Amino acid sequence: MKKFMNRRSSILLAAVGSIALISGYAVVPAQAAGPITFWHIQSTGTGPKLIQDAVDRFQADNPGVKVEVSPIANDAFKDKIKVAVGADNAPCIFPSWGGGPLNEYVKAGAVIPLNSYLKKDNYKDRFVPASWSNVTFGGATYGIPVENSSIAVIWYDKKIFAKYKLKTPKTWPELLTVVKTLNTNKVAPFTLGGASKWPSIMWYDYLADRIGGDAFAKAALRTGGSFTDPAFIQAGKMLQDLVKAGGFIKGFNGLNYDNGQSAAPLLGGKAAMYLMGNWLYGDFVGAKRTGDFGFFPFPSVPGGKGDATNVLGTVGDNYYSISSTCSDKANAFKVIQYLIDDKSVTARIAEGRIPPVKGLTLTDPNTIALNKMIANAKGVQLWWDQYLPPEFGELHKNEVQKLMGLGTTPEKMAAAQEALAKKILD
Amino acid sequence: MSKKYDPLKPNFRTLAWMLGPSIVLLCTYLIWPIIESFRLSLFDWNGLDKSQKYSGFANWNELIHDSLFWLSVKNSFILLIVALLIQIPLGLSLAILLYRGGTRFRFFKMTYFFPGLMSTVAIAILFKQIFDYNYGLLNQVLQSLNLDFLMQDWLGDKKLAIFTVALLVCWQYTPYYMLLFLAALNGISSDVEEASAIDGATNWKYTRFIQIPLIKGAIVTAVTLITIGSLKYFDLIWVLTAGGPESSTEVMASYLYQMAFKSYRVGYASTIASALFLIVFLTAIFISRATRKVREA
Repeated sequence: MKKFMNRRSSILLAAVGSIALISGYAVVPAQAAGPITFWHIQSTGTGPKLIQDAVDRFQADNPGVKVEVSPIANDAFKDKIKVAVGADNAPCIFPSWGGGPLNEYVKAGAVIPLNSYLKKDNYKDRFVPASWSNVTFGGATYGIPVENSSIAVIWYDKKIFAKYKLKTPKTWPELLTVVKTLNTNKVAPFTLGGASKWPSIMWYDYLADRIGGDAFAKAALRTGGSFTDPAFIQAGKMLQDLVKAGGFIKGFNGLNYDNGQSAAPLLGGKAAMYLMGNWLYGDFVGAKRTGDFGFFPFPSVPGGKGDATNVLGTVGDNYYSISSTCSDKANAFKVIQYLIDDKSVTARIAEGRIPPVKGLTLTDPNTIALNKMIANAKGVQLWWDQYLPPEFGELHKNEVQKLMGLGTTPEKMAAAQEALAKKILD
Repeated sequence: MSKKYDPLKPNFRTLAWMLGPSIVLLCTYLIWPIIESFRLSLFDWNGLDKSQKYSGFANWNELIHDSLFWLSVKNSFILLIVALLIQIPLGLSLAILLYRGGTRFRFFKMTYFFPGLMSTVAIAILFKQIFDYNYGLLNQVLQSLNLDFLMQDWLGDKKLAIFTVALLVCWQYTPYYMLLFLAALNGISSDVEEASAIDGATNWKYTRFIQIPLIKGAIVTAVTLITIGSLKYFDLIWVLTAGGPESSTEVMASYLYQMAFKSYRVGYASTIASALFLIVFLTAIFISRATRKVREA
């Protein structure tokens, strides 16, 4: 019996000892008005410097406050932030694209409304009005637009267009003619990062906008619309017709965006065009070939209800939000203000970006043209996968990939999207 | 304790001190998460909300009718079958060849093991470029050899992609099993080889009737490892294709990840995780039963 007691007590002791050992490492220090933790995804090129310079200026003016900056790679961030928020361990300041995913954080009470901060000194008026729609939910604003304005345009190789005497198309039939000419001359009309999925939805989302006008808003906000609206079916049909007409480079559904695979045919002269965000310009800068490429807006569709000046994209992302677990929210907001103060704006313009504030002085002709396009746009539609809840965004991306691989029909795709919309949006 | 310490008869206190920490760690990081994911499979939860909504067996019901999940199960088993059909025979042949070659083949021993030394993510990124339809090394080589008809859209063709991936997995893992078999072959006493030579066994007969039967334990181990490894395979596929195109390379683990981290459906992802656990567990039991005769003979 004595032996038994000994066994039991020793097991207990071992267990307690190990728990102490583990928890010794796992216990998170209690949050006093501690350092302001700050995650961002400006992790490539001069991105980290842009952020660090602003934070340094903040710290020079606020010597008592400590800011811990962590640059994180884009895709890694998306998963990491989710785990951190779910574990109540979110950084004070973190970026987002606004829209559906940010709304998930809003609904979970993980981020704070910034209205009171924005009212002070009319700070809100500093920004382009179009920049707020993606971060405003139920009248409250949860993010500050900082980094850039991104819209999808059609980039084209000027030399190829000159060689075959092509004009940049203004309408869909004109685009089809260009596609035909290029195909007869054995140049792939468009390249596309189909494996990454999000480049493909730009096609569908633009077509749906040009054809259906406010059909998407009605379907997404459930105000009498449906994803089975004829406009969406027609968008699917026209996109599949373009695929069948050889509009895209062979193997496009195997090309990734991230590793430069999908842009390679455009830079290498194998493909003549790429519907992509204006950030693709960075690739031309990198290749020192900015003069070889130009862009034009997505063409209009005859008979379509959508305004041809509408653009797909976002004004102001990344947005920065403050987590509800942050111990020093007032200073966190101040840090964000330094990110988009006049010095930061000048530094971002020098990088070819378009910060979402009013009264910019731009010099680069490409940036000026883009800025004009954004200013003249009747509407800016955020990428659907960012606008809608994540589950819908994923389905949409998968369905468009399937549509362009001719693995589904426009009708089936519409039905699948409407079924999910009924489940999670109604 | 008054008893004299005897190292050959470890007392309970020693055992407890030595095993305790690892038992606690195993429970914290292995047993508890498994139980927790079973529990979460009964909830509707996005991974962010403070509250988890109990939904009974709704997730399980959805899973049974989810054609994408069954497609991912099918793809996981394609990976498994291709792995068994290629890795075992190829690994075994290479091991026997290298064993025969002895020290003369040391160069090849090292070279053949190279794929096993590379990080999976590096392999995935590298092969993304190699399999590129327009600029990829593979198609360029085929073209320069005038074998244009063999050029394929290796990762973009939905019928082909899963096999491209499966073959790449074989390329990556065959060296491990080659090494495992080689070690087992080296474990056979040279007396056996001499005796069989005296009895007039040819090379083939020696391999067929002596070497292979003597290393069957290693072969069974390899089959089990391949089974478990293939069914829960994730990293290479996630970086290489992310389950695409058109879900044609979706496997159970990538589908799970997609649901948890891309679609914010942690409850449903837990259901997939639990199903994955059950499928791997049952298959492992089946393999163990099926190979019992071989092991015990």
